Amino acid sequence: MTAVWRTANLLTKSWPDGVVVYNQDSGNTHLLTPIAGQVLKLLADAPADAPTVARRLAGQIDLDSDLELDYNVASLLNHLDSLGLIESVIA
Amino acid sequence: MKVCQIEAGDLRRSLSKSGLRIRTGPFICHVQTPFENIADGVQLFYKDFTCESEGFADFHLKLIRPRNLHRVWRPQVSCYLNDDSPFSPLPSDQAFAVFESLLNWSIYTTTYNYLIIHGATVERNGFAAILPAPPGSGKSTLCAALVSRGWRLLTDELTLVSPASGLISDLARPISLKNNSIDVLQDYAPNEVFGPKIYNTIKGTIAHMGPPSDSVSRMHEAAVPGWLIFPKYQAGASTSVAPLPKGQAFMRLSSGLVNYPVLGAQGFEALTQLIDRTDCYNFTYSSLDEAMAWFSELQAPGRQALEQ
Repeated sequence: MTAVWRTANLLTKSWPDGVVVYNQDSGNTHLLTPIAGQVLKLLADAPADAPTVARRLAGQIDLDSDLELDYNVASLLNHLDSLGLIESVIA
Repeated sequence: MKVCQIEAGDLRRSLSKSGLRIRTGPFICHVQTPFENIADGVQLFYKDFTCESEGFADFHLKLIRPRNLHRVWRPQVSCYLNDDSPFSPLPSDQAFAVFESLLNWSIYTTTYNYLIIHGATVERNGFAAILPAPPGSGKSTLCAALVSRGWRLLTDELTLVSPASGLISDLARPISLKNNSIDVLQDYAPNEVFGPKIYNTIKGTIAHMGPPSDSVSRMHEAAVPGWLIFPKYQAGASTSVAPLPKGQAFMRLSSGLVNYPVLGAQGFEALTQLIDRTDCYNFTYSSLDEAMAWFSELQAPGRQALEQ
């Protein structure tokens, strides 16, 4: 089974130094990197698994889609999950 | 009616009996107290404020003598907000400082229709400079100096941001100066009104500087947020200024907000709007003259983004 990720109940605001995210369920606020904000936006547009997120991100920021990117995206998703900003839906 | 229209004896009698309702910005505060030092403080610092003897009040404050043995050998003041007593009794010679703290506490704990920033705010040419800072950072000293040099006082302690309009309400009240900054300001701004020093409070020695009449008379004029400046007094330091990225400014500001968790999504939206509208800086100073010079050259908000 592959975990498909979707965003929690969030409000976001982007600035050049990062993205501020407010979790409406927990009341917590986080400052994330612009890349993390981009990943959240991808998941807000459409829930996806890690490889799909990596592929879409690579297309957006002109990166080669490779194993290193897959690994970094998977780590980032785990981090966002630990912050309660995304949640998995078993596909 | 204004407080200055009430004769001193009548003011004391009114405060000690049914009390006085004083309008401070968007709030009406009903205060009852027999303490003469509070009446003297009200007469000195609230002389330009409007007041009534009857009618609605947002807060009901009572500052009275506790019925304990202290009243014989060490008189105290007990304070009540709407019949709850938030603080332990304190020495009665601190009564006016206790009144000011109790009024701040009332606003902190019962106001949910404003985003409350712990910080001073001053205004010039329609734009407000917000100075959020923890105690001991030189916020009140800087605020008092700016006010003495023509900036309009909106608040020394509680910045009220309307989530609906994004504007800042005027809450001009006495500026609370502590310890060394009292003498510094009395030398720097000798024409301002200062109250007596109040010794041995939990914050050390306190003295209040009166709000200028012009600031009080413009109490109904909200101001547009222009600058968000995090001040830090550092003895002997030369003035240094660093632009603060907006994401970092948001996190720094939100961590010190009184009621941000209560306002939830509305608070988040209000705060992002505030950060969007303001130029944000870290500001370190020790010389008031240098600080005043930098503030006097502040450009209209929005230029910071163009310069970066």
